Amino acid sequence: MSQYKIIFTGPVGAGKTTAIGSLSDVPLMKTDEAASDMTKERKAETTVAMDYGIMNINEGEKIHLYGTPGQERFDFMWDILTVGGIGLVLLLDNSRADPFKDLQFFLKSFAGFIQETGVAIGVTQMDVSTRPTIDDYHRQLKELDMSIPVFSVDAREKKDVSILVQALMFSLDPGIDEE
Amino acid sequence: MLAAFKEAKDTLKGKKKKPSKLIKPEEPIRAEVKVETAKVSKLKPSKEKQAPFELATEKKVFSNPLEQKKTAKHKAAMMINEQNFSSFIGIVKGVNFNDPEQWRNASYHTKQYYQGYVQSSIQVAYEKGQVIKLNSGWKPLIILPHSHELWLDADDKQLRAFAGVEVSSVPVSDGKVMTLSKVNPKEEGFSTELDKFQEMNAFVWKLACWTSKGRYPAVLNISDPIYLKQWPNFTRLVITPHAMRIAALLVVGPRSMLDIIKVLKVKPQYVFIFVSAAYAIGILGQSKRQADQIITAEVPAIKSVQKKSLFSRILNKLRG
Repeated sequence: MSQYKIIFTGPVGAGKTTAIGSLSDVPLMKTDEAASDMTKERKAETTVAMDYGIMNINEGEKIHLYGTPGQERFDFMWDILTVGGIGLVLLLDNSRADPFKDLQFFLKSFAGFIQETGVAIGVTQMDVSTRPTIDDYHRQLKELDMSIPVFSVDAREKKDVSILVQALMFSLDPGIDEE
Repeated sequence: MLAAFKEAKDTLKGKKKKPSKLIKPEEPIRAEVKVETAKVSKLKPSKEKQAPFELATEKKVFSNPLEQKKTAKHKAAMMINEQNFSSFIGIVKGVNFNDPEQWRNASYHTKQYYQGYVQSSIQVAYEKGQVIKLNSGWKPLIILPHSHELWLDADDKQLRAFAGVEVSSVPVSDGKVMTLSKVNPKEEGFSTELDKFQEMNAFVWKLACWTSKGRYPAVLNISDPIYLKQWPNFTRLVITPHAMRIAALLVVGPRSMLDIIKVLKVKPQYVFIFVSAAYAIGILGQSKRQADQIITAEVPAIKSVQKKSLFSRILNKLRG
């Protein structure tokens, strides 16, 4: 049976663990540790290796959902996790000091993987910080010559995360049959 | 799986100094990327380490209770499938969408509907940088350009009913069908009713859907290529059947409505309603350049049958 995976990445506190939990059919496997640096200002615990969930799509067929650690010092995990991935979900926290810097950083870090597969971006915390707007993100992406899905997302809402992953699938192949 | 977890955890705790089995020491940690072959992005993988990422973790805003009470604005998307399309969107009398000969007649003039007045009012509000009220003889609509919001004391059911009715020629005042007036938000009572605020694009999108009912705007030509500037923010919009497929196809390059129907093998009303909504919020246009008409974008490389089938199964799972 083939093994497929979707990778969730983004900065600390963007909602990667929550998003995977929204889609996973099994309890999430986490590698959380108490935050020891500036991360602790945002959350008590943070992912240090990876998060892991499973989406059962058919009899015995699974999609593995991997969440990367948000902190750059754990970036050695990023390349390991993307091997064999079918696409990338990038979650950005709109309440952070410079979400565009985050955007560029992660797109650059995963450029090779994105080139081979695809990416969809979910912007979280838009009810906390309304700016930048989704249009602002598109303007940034236009400068990078990228036309990719960028949606407002509440990582706790399964529907939001589901629509984001659906858009990723369609951007990989618009010819997929819907119904 | 579990072993990999434990190993990674141990390494991070400093219990294990050896590199993971998953990383061969002689290999670079970062994957080599052929930047010159990149088509989708100008981004290059970083060669130099950037500043530690934790430096950017500072929060701008810690809470925004007023914004969080604008429940309609942050409401999740509504997905409409083919089965409930007619009941949710409505039916247009006099157009048989099964007859390709009639597709060219399946257009509508936005100016004959509430949609046209709302769009014109929004344009005025932005140009003047002023909060304004649209007095239509129905419910007053307040447009707040600075926050990209609208305020309307009506639910979706009421809006859907009003959207589909051609605007009466009976004047509201001074011989005008609808009027605009300046609003001082501090003096009006609307700002306390937070649940009635709506995001501008989400509102116009659904208004266009309910006005279109499967027709396309008459200003567009069904045979000429149209283009999509960006993906719509689908998580906060009414998602009509095949809307995401159409968006995915159009962001690749310009294509006519007739061509989209043919390539995606979808009913014309699903293409037309998407085009109406996307055009209404200003992210879709008709190509004016002759080159766009000659060079239609190639169909995106369709993945292998195996991948296609996998993506379909994932979609089925996500849509329950």
